[in-house]
Amino acid sequence: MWCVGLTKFATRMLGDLVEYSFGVQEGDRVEIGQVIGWVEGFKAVTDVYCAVAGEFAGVSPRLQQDITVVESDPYGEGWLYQARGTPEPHSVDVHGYIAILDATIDRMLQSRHERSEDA
Amino acid sequence: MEPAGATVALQKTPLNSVHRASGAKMVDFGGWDMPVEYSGIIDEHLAVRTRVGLFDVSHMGEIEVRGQQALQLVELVTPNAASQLKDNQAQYSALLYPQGTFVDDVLVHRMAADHYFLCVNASNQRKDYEWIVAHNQLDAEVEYASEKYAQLAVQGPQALATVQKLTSAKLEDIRYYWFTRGEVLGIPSIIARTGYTGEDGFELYVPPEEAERVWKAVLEAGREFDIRPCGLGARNTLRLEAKMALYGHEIDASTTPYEAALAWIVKLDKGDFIGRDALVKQKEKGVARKLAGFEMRGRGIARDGYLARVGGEPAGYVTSGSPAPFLKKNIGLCYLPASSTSVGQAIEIEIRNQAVAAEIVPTPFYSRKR
Repeated sequence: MWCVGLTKFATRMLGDLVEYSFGVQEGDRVEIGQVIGWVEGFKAVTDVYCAVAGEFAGVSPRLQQDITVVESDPYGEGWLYQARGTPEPHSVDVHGYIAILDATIDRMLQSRHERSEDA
Repeated sequence: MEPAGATVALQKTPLNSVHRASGAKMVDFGGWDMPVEYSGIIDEHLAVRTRVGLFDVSHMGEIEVRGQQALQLVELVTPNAASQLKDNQAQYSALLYPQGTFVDDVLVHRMAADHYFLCVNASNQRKDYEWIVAHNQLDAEVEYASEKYAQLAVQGPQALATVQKLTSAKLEDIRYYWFTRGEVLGIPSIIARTGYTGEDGFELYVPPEEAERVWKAVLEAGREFDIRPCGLGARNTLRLEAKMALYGHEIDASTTPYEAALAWIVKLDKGDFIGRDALVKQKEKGVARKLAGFEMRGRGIARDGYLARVGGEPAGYVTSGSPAPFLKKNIGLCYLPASSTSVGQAIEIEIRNQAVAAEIVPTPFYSRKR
């Protein structure tokens, strides 16, 4: 069983969360990359993709009571949905994701540095 | 030639490094690197409605018109009656094209009989300045003064108590839409009782090099009221609840004051002004479409640009839509055929390919108790 949610970085980008909806139900077959719903931040809506191939196992009941738990406890109670099966092969854990973000920012800084040398 | 991938540098207010050091979330707002939120839009919005909030609005532009013919020029380029202003009084107005549509909306301040100070939208400031200069057939002096001012907005029921700690000017004597020239922390400032939130408050125009000192002092003075630094996100939701127009949304080069429900800024009897002929005609004929406020009845949030339907038929579009944090409703403004804008009219907003029920409601959605 996999619990899937948003990273703290993603919630910061979305801003206050206000609404969500899922188009699949418990027991439905799901594929990796399938759009299974959306979450709506104060400023913008984003699709929720399925990160697991297998069976959808339901939306977190906590969301109905208070969707802000997604921001306040992203790696604990604030998950979005559960699914059984095989996760996306390229998926990483939190530490792996932080490393990706760091590498991305380093690359951006590097290219900016090179551009300013060209100028 | 620009190297591939190079971007034009964003413009920065004098408080840019303060925002960044405070961890504000920054966005490109019409070419300006501005804070969209600090602690969160909802938190900041509620702080302004119930306590006090501080905004950096130094991106706004300032244009000054001076000379014996200053009033004549201002009267020519704006539809409201600038001649009715007294010294130290401000007025909401506009710059219009000959077809009666908006170049921009502006705040006109009368500094003196021969000196007017216009506060204009950030992204329009160059265009506005050039527009006024192009119509200066008189010999008024028009100055692009944006670089001379930083602007801080202190808004909320505790704004007066907060700013009063920093100035000897007697703030309670300044009426809404009046201003004074005084000192804040000993710094010469324009202290205007104006704002864009629907709340009581002050807008402080200070020299850019003093902006950081004033920003920090206001936060310190407001600490006992649990003041919040606020971003443009909350500024937008606050103005929407108060149904204040935003250029590029409710008003632009294709909409007139009559369509935007801003007939009160058009004084046809004041004499000639740019756009008057077109507005006289539109008033005689009646407007085909009109701005209206709605509340969502079904589940969903209307967003800018979404289609509005009446009786199932496409009828208009949403100009601004958002959750309203204080009212705890999902609200919006939209253009509709004038015949479909009565309070109680059922409409539908198309949200992600689904028609969601909404209803025309009285506006402003929120108005403070005075």
